[in-house]
Amino acid sequence: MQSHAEERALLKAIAAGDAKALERLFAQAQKRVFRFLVRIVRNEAVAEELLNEVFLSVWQNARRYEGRSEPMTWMLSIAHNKAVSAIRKKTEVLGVDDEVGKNLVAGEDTPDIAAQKHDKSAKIRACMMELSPDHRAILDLVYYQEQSVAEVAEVLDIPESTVKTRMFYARKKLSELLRKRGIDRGWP
Amino acid sequence: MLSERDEIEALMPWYLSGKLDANSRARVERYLEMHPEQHSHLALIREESDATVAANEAIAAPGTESLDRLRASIGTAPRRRSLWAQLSERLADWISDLAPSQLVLATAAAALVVMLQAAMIGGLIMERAATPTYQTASGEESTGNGVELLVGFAESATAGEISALLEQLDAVLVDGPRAGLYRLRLPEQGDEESEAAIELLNESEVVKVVLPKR
Repeated sequence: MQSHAEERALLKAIAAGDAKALERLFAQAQKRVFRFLVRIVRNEAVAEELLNEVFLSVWQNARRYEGRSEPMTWMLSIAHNKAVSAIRKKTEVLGVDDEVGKNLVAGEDTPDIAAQKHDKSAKIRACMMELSPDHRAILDLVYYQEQSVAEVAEVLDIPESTVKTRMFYARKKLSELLRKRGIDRGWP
Repeated sequence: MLSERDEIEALMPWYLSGKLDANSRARVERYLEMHPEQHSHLALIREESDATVAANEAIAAPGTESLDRLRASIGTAPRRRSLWAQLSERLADWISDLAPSQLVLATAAAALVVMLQAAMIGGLIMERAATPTYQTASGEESTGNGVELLVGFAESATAGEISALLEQLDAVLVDGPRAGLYRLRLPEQGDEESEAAIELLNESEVVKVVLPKR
């Protein structure tokens, strides 16, 4: 992962209209942002569309970046908003309520998930895909994106106390799903 | 409501990733000293973390065409800048280019329009006073709630051109000139209409500069 200082410098250059700086930031950050999007919307084509929107938004709004958070936290926050909005639109188009909509988004197993039947890690990964997008997003933000409590709060736009409880309940739900698959972790 | 044990468990994912603040980290460490059996919970978190990282790393990078797509998008999308920032830049450019003699010329035609408008507004007020119907305390033209701007006119602008522009926007000049600038008020309307009107002012050859009224 590149240094925060470099990302900040690139954002400053982008704010001044440097398109090459945007390309460099894109090259450096696209994978993390893309993965975050895929894990929420569970559709790579939609995630690619959203990835473009995220960096377009970075280009248009770089002047508004105030440096209070790390650039990656800021970009993940934009990505989260775009992903949630895409899920909401899908739900509205289908005319179903939020929970059903979330399940529809989370309904189709990728070949990777379908093939995971053997080891415990694979089962944990499969169970993660059964979590709600909110729970999956917070696990990703903490474990893969390595965001602090305050940073997760900023990305998800929720209080820090909610970050801690949401993470706690996401993990609890994961354990329950694993128990249903025959893996009792002795917690909760 | 979470028990103390739940609260500690809620903090443990960040404890393991080294992302806890000093106080919370000390709290977790104190708890682990008193409850060493809770170290096993850290192993569960490590399992979850490893699985999450593996799941993410299994996702391939986006296609190579994504950069081309972004390039195309930024080529067509206007950058969002604050309107006031754009207007302020134009003021700086305008003033730096303007000779004192030009400043006088640019204000002369507009001053004539202000005088004519003042006469018209005065006429309207007198007309209303003579009409026995209900009216609000604020006259539309004199104290409306529309967006106000400071406007500088091109030195070549004629009074007729300025009047035509004001009529097109349904706007009035309510004060000026001060330092070559006039206070222009747009009619009460939505933000989009006001932004469109400002855009039109910016693009007009009659107008040299448009600024926010502070």
